[in-house]
Amino acid sequence: MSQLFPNVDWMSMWTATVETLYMTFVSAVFTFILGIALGLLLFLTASGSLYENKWIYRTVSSIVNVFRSIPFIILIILLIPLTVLIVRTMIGASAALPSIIIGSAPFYARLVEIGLREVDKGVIEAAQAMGATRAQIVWKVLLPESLPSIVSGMTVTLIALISNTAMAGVVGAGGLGTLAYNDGFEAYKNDVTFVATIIILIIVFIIQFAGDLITRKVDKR
Amino acid sequence: MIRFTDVKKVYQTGNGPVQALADLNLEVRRGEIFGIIGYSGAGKSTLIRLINLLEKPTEGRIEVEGRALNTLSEKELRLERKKIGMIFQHFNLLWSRTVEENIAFPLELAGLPRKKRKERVAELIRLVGLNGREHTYPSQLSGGQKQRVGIARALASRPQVLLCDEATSALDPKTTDSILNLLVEINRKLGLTIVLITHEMHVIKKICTRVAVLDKGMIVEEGKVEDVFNEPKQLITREFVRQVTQHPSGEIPGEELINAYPDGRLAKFVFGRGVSQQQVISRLFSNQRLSVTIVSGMFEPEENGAQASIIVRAEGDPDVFREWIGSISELGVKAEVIRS
Ligand SMILES: Nc1ncnc2c1ncn2[C@@H]1O[C@H](COP(=O)(O)OP(=O)(O)OP(=O)(O)O)[C@@H](O)[C@H]1O
Ligand SMILES: [Mg+2]
Repeated sequence: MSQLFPNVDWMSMWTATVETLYMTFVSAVFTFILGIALGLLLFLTASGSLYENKWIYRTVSSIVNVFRSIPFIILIILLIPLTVLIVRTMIGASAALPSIIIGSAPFYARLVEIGLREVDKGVIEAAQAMGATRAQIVWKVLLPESLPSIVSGMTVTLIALISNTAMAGVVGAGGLGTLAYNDGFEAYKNDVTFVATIIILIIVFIIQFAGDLITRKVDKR
Repeated sequence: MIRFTDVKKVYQTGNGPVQALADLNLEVRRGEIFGIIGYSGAGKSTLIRLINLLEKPTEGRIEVEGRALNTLSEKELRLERKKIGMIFQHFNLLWSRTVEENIAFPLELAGLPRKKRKERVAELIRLVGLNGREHTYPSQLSGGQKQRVGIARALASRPQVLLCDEATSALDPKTTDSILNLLVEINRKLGLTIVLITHEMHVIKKICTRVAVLDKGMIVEEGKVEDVFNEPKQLITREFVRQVTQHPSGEIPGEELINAYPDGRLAKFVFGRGVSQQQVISRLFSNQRLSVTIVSGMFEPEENGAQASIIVRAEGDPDVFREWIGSISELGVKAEVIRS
């Protein structure tokens, strides 16, 4: 092992992996909650929907579109003031969280919205005919019926999110990205970059596999 | 039980208003199975959806059990809706729930405790004959079974009225019959008033007590089913009646016929206005060496261009049969041998 990768310090590789997993996990939780909330808001306020509201829909939709279009690396720079305000520092894993979440949640919100749109209108109508309240329709019809899309959308989002943690690493967020860039690329230690990449790939594969598995399990269509 | 008074429904669309129902008056009595028939776009779905206010009337009054639903608050309306069950052409089940959970859905909405729900669901499963299917997901059921789940779900909160929006239109004839039988059974057993809409006259004939014919948003004919059948007044009603009294355009499926008449030769003759009926009929029966009987005959009325189609059964020598067919087709009759 040490002959194959002479420059790899396994201890710091492990620390970096944990940092990446930490960033991924925390931002995934927030992305999930924020994405579903925004996705629901978009779906419910769209024209002809349960809480139709043109102004809310247009405002949220524009915000989501703007943040979805900004390249992540620019988003990090733009968000530095906000980051400093929230986490009081601009370097380190926690400092990367706001930009990662703001970069992923709008993307996920759109996927959630699309998933909700796929719920059969007839089923919503059947629930209304049975005297369901709007809240009951959201909790008992919309969310359960679109669960496969919600899960598979989260898988896609998570993979994009991991690539964002690596990118944030280049500007000092820590984790495997920082290791690959600072210790690997800049110090001409290609084996370090290589091992960091492999670990990222393994994480991505595991997420993809688990995501597909859960999607299949909840999809009873 | 259900009364429509001068009801009008206009949809506002991008291309201007569309009038779906015009000055509609209608009364459905308690305990009856009331059928509404009409072609696509006649306004059938609009009409039935007005009953539970899935659609709001533009004008007029709709009462269910003496209560005008469109004057109720949202909360009162939800309570009233629980007394009106509805089933749909495409079943509209929740695919994420099992049969049992689908049937329990309205009970869950009503906040019934789990134990009570289980008891009621078991009752309903027995009623619609889905025993052993409790834990299956809808995607693993046949169309007929899905509709049974739909019916059980609609009956769960013990409604007084059941609305059926083309409930059998997605099903094959045999399954349609079994679902219709189930509807009659629950109508008798539970004293439920049923309103059903369809474009198929045999559905009306099989289970309805009264029928209304809807054409372009207006009821053009209404009455007891046997009266409407025996004496259809409007052209459109006659068209619907013909759906069941005759096979469409004289078409009796070959196989059905061969089963019904296992022996003898079968032939079908079709002819239009230019052919003398008298000549055809006389040639049909003038051959002494064949014994001929008419199996089915159909004469379209004048307004449709007077087409006749006759199916006959003949006994006799095969060569004589062929010659006889030839002599009839000489008259300009389209002859088709179903079995020689
Ligand atoms: N939501 C709507 N918005 C606009 N127009 C509508 C709407 N629903 C129905 N219509 C129009 O109202 C008329 C009656 O439609 P309806 O669905 O009641 O007919 P139907 O008899 O049920 O037809 P089908 O057998 O095809 O279901 C049609 O002209 C239709 O285009
Ligand atoms: Mg319809």
